[in-house]
Amino acid sequence: MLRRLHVGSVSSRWLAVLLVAGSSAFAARAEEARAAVRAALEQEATGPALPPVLPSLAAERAGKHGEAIPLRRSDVGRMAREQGEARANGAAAAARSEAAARAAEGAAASAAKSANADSHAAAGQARANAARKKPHGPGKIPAGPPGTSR
Amino acid sequence: MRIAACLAVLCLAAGALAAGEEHLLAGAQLFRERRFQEAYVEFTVAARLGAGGDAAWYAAAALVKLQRPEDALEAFAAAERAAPSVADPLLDYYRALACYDARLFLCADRLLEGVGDRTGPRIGAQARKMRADIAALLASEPSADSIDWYHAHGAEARKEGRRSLAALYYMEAAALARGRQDRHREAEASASLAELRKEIAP
Repeated sequence: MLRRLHVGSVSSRWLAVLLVAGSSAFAARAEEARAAVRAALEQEATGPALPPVLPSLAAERAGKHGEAIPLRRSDVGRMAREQGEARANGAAAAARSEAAARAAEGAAASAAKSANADSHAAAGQARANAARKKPHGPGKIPAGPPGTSR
Repeated sequence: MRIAACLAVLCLAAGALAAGEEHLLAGAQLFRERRFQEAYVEFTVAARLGAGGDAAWYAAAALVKLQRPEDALEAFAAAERAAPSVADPLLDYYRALACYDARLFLCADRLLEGVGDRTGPRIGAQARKMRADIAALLASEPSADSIDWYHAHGAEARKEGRRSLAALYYMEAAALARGRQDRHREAEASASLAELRKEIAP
């Protein structure tokens, strides 16, 4: 009886030690992940280059979709490069890229749903799929209201 | 036996959470590389694996970079409902960009006001520039046609069930109408907004 109590108390202590060690390691990892994301967000926090323009319903109905806000200079080069790539790859590549992006989202969503599955591997697969068929050019830009390119 | 079961449960939970953090890290790297579509996927997976409320905010920021401002605004609203304490000036800056891209300039201005220099001098300067541009735009009376545009987009968003987005369009329409002598369709915008608020938070 005493021995069982003793074993129980030792095991509980070990469990407590494991919990403390595990939670501090996890907290450190979580902090590292958040710092990495914030650094990335700060790096990519660009702003629009030109002044805003109020939209016009009449123009939109006439098919002009209002005045587009022009692209930033750095993005103009990037877009031109991507358009060049898209031309080289052809329209079929552009269509495939959209499908690949959707497939990546779908694969990742499945990975998230099955918590027991190896989610990391699944998302890795999603990344690989998307990387293989990475969107190029204007085909990747979904329809939406006019805005700045970033 | 009981302890072993506890350990197993804890290990499983820790594994899922750790996987969430790994997806956050992967998303950060992809975001840096301007691979926003893939970063969005990683952040979404991280959010679903329970990597804190932050991941949903990061996914919304990725939508801004993907030039999907309306989707981003809805994602920000959902993230705010789920984890309001995560909001900070940097995320507000991205949210303001989404407003700006959706032509919700007053919405952008409200958010940028709180950004100030709290995100550093570079982003602070961008925020000030955007605010100055918006102030210049709204110095003159907005046209009735512009206000009609916001009504049309609000109605469209509402029809599609995108209530938080519709509310933003009507809020903008009402605020712009107040800048006109005739208060063009202000009462209509306010009525739609009141209905939407009831629907969003019954």
